[in-house]
Amino acid sequence: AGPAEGVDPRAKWQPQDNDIQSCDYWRHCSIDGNICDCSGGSLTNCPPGTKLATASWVASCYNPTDGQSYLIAYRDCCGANQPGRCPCLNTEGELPVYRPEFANDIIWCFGAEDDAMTYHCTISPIVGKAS
Amino acid sequence: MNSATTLRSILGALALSAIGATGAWAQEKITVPTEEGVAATEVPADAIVVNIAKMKYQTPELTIKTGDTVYWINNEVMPHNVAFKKGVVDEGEFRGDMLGKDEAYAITFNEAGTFDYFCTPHPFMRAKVIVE
Repeated sequence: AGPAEGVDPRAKWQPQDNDIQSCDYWRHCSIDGNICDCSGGSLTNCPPGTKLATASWVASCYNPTDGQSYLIAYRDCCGANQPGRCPCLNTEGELPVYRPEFANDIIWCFGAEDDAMTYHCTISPIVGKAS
Repeated sequence: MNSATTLRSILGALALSAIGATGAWAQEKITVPTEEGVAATEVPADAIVVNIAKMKYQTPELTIKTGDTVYWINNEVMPHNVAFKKGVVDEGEFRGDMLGKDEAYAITFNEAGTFDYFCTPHPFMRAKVIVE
């Protein structure tokens, strides 16, 4: 579910609120990797057999349905190879690696059970309202 | 494997390879009453508190007595925690639970010493507890 053919990859981010397996779903505004919902997980849960990390990068994503912005904590599910399904890369408000709190190039597997550090997929849970 | 994630692998390894494994929850030097964060409303009124806000521990250097309990309270939506590098409170690394907004985390310090800590996903956030 990458960008549709004919869509300008450099065009401004246009979030939608009706398909969580699509890269333009509003909560994925700063996701890097694969959507867990496409490989046995869900929008906010890891697929069976993978380990949920505790640490994460975050982004403030705009929800077009209610007009509010929410802080999303992009936590990685780790300990299994990449599923290759639903790859996405969005960088709304993303910052370089010296500002890690907003950097999505990092493998955010820190804190996963059994010290799993292999990237599998990313979930997009809301942690609170952003300004 | 897409190229973006390959880049993530490389940068991640470079940037944060110093952050390692979770330590045990009960050590001699410290005691952790609850593994998970609790609501800030449960923090006693007379507690020793370190607030976390604006990507910073608001009390960078805190001096307490042996046996005192310190409560960290996260005042912002950005998740934070309290972590000690290997050898500070135990042979391994200790990593506290990630706190959401208005959540608190308590640690009791049982031995005198200086305990430097940091935030797992934000290693530039550092502070210390001095136990006398």
